[in-house]
Amino acid sequence: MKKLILAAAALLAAASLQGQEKVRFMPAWIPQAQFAGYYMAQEKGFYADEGLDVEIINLSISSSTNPLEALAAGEIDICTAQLVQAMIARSKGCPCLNILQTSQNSSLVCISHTPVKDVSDLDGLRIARWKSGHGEHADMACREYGVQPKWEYTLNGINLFISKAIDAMIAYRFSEYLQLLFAKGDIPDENVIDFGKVGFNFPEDAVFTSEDFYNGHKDAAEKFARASIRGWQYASAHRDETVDVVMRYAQENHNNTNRAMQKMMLDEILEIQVDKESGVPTFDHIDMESFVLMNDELSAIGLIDNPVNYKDFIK
Amino acid sequence: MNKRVSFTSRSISKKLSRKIVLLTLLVFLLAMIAVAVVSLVTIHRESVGNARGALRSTSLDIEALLVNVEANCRSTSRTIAYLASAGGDVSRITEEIVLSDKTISGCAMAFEPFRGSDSGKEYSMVASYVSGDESTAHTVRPGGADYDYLIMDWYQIPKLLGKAYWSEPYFDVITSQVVTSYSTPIYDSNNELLGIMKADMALSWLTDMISALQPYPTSYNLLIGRNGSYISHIQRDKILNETIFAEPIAEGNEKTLEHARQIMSQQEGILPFILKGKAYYYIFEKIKNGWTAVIVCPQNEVYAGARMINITLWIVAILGMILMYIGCKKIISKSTMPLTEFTNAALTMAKGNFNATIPDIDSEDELRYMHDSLSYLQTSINAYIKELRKSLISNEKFENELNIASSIQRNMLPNEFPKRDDFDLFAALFPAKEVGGDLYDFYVKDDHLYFAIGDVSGKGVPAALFMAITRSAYRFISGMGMNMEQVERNINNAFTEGNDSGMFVTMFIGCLDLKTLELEYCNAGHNPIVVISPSGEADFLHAKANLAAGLIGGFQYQGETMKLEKGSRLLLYTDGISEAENRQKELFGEDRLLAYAAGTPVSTSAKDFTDGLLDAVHTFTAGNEQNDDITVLTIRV
Repeated sequence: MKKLILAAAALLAAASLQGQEKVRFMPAWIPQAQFAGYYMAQEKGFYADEGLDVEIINLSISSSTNPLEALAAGEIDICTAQLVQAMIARSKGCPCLNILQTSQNSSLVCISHTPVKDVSDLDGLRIARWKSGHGEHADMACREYGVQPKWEYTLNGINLFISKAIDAMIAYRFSEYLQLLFAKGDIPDENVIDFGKVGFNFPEDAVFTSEDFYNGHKDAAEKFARASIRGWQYASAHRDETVDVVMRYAQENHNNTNRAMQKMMLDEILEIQVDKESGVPTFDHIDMESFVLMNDELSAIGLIDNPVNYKDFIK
Repeated sequence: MNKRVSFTSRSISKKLSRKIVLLTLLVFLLAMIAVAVVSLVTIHRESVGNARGALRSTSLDIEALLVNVEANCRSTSRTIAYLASAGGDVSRITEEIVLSDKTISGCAMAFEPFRGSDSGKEYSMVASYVSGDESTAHTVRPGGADYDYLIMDWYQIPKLLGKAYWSEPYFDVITSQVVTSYSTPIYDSNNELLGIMKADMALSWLTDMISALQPYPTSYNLLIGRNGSYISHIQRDKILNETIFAEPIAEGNEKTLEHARQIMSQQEGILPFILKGKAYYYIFEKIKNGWTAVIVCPQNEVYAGARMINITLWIVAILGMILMYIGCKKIISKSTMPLTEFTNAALTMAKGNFNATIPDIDSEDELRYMHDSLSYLQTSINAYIKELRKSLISNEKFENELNIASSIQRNMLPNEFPKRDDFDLFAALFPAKEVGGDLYDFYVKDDHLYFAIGDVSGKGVPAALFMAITRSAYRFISGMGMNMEQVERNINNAFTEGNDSGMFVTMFIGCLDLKTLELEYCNAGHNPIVVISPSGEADFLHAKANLAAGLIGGFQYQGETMKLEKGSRLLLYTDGISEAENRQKELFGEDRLLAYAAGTPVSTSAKDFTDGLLDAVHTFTAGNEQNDDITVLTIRV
C-alpha cells in the first residue's frame, strides 16, 4: 500500500514538472550578493511561477570556467556577464544575446596607495588587474588620457595590493573595494578613481543566453528575465532576508565571507541598478547611442575588430 | 562592695574607646588608601606585564616555528637553484624537506614560464607533500589553465617584491587544507628569476599555539592577518570569513573602528575597551610575519590580585578596629572601676550611711587623691554629725522644759470668768513665744473688783520669770487693804531691790467698788486704757503716767479715782494690740483701737467684745508674725 502511494506521488510530481521548462543558469562568479536577485527569484518561486525549472550552477573560487564560453559550448543555457565582456566575446564569434540589463551604471574603480587626482596620475604605475578580463573601462580611460600604466595581471584578491608589490589595483566597487575596506578600516577618497565618474559610466552586469537557446525557447528567455526582475525587486524590498539567503548559498559553497560584507555588497549592487536620471531601477537595455559609443571605444583599444550589431545582440 | 554597673565608667570607657578607635581608623584609612593605590598600580602593571610576557612568549614560539621554516628554505634554496639550473629533478629535495620537517606539510618549486626542466612548457611545478602520519612523500606536477600558479599570491607577490614572502592563509587545492606558505624567489647565475620555492605550514600549527595561551580564566586570543582577516578566533565561524573591521564598519561604530585601527597599525600595545558594560583589555603585538597576536581579557581579572589584597586589607582593618574597640573598652573600663566604687560610696554617704566603704587605691595618681579627699570628707562629716546630735538632744530637752514653763504660766492667769449681774469681765492673753511677759489678774473681795494688766519689758523666759513675780507680788500686796497707789509703790519697791537685770513692768491696776461704781486706779507707765460710755463714745482715760515698776525704787506713785456710769465699758490692753504690725509695716494703732471700741455696740458681751477686737487685730496683721505678747481685759458694768 505504501509503495503504491509513493509511486503515485512520484508520478504526480513528474507530471507537475512536465509543465516546467528546464533552464541551466550560471552566475558569473561564486555565490555572493552580486547575484541576489536570481537566488531570491529561485527561493520565492518566481521562476516556478513562470513555469521554469531553473538549475543554478555555482562557480568555486578556483574555477577557471568562463560562463560565456560555457554558454557557447551549450553546457549552460543562461548566464550573467559584464556587457563589455559579452560584446568582446560576441565580436569574436560567441553567440550570446543580452536578454536583461540589470546594471545601469559602471562600478569599476582604481584604488591606489597614494592619492591620485585623475586618470593621468595612473601613468607608469604598476596596477593589478584580473588576468581573466574586466577592466576595459580602465583601458578606455587610459587611452582617452593617453596614459600607459604597467599592468600586472593577477588572479584575484587584495593581498597583492596590501603587500605593496604594486602601486594600485583595479577593483569593483561592490567586491574588491569592499574587501579592501574591510581589511584596512577605510579607503581615502583621494586614493580612488571612479571610472564611471570620469566619463565612462557604461553598464556592466547583464543576463545572456545563447542564440540556440533563444531561438528554441524565446518564451523561456523572456520569462526568465521577467522572473529575475521580480527577484531583484523582492531583494531590494527585503534586504535582510536576502542576505540570509545569500549567506546560505555562500556557506554551502564554502566561500569565505560574512553578513556585513554581503549586506554592503547587496546595497552597492542595488545602487548600481538605479538609473541616474529617473532614480529607480529601470532594468532598461542600453540605448543605441551609448552602445555605438562603446563599440567605438572598444575598437579603438583593439578589443573588438567587428562592431557588434545592436539589434542582433540586444533582446 | 559588689561590682555594680555604673553609668560613669561605662560612658567614659565607651567615649574614650570610640575616640581612640576613630582616630586609629582615620590613620588606618589613610594608610589603606595609600596601600590600595600603590597596590592597584603595581599589580596592574605586574599583571599586564605578566600577560604581555605570556603573549611575548607565545609570539616567540610562533616565530620560532616560522624562523625554522625560513632557515630550512634558505639552506635548501641554493641547492634547488643549482639543481634546477642544471636541469635536474628537484623532487628529491622537496620530498626530503617534507619528510624531515614535520611542520612543513608541503614543499614545491614552481618555475617561470619555460624555465622548468622540461623547458618547452609554460607551466612547470614540482610539489611534494605528506598527508597525516604517512612516512612517504607524494609528488605531483600541477600547472596550467586549471592551476595558473603564476598569478597566485604565493608566486606573484615574492616575484614582484624580489624577496621572500610569508603568505596569508589560503586553501591549497593540492593538499586540500588551509596553509600559510613561505616563498623564496630562486635566481639563476645570471640573477634572473628561475622560479619560486615554497614551503607550506598547516595553519593549525600556529592557531594551536595561540589557542593554548590562557593567562586569565576567561581570556581568549585572536590571530589577525595583514589583511585584517581573523586567522584564529574563539568564534570559529569568523575564522578567515571576517576581518577585524567588519563589525565596526557594519555598525558604524567609530570607537571600535579606531580600536581596530590601533591594533592593526601599532607594533604592540594595551587597549582598554568596554563591551556591554564590562571593561576589557586588548593586549596585542606583531609577529615577525606581520600578523597580530591579541589577548582579550576582562579588566577585573587583571586586577583580581589587587582586589584580593584590598579585600584582605579591609577585612583585617575592620577586624582590627573591632578588636581594638573591645580591648580599649575593657582596659579603660578596668582602670576606671574605682570611679564606680567612689561614686557608689558617695551615693551611700548621701543617703545617710556615712560609714560607706571607700575603695583602697595603691597607685599614686589622681585616683589616690580622690580616695584621700573622700576619706577625709567621710571623717569630718562623721565628727560633725556627732556634735550635731549632741546639741539636738540638749535642744530637745530645753524645748520640753519650755513647754512645761508655758503651761505653768498659763495656769497662773485666771481663766474662769465669773458670771455676775453687776459686771461682765473677759480677758485673753497670747504670748509671742512659748512663755511671755504680759499678765492680767482679777479677783473679787468684799464687793470690790480688783483687776490688773501688766507688760514686762522684753520677751521670752526672762520676761516670763519677771511676769510670775509681778503677778504674785500684785496678788499678795493688793490683798493687804491698801489703796492703789500704795500697792503700786510697794510693788515697785519690791522689784527695784536686787534687780540688776534692768527689767521693768508697766502696769495698770484698779479697784472698783461694785456698789457705788467708784473706780480707784493707778497707772504705772502703761498704755492708756479706753473708756466707753454707755452711749458708745470711746475715749482714752488720761491717767497719770507715773513710771513703770522696777525702775526707780521709792517712786511716789499717784493714784486717781473716778465714778463710772452704769453701762460703761473699760478696755485694758498691752502694746501687743496697739503695735500689732502687718506686712506693710503699718501698726494697728490707737485710732483703730478707738474706732473698734466706738464702733462696737454697747450691748456686746465682754467676751464678744474681746473676741471681736482680737479678730480685728488678726485681720489687720493678715498672717504676719506676732511680734509682742497680746493681752486684752475688758470690764462692762
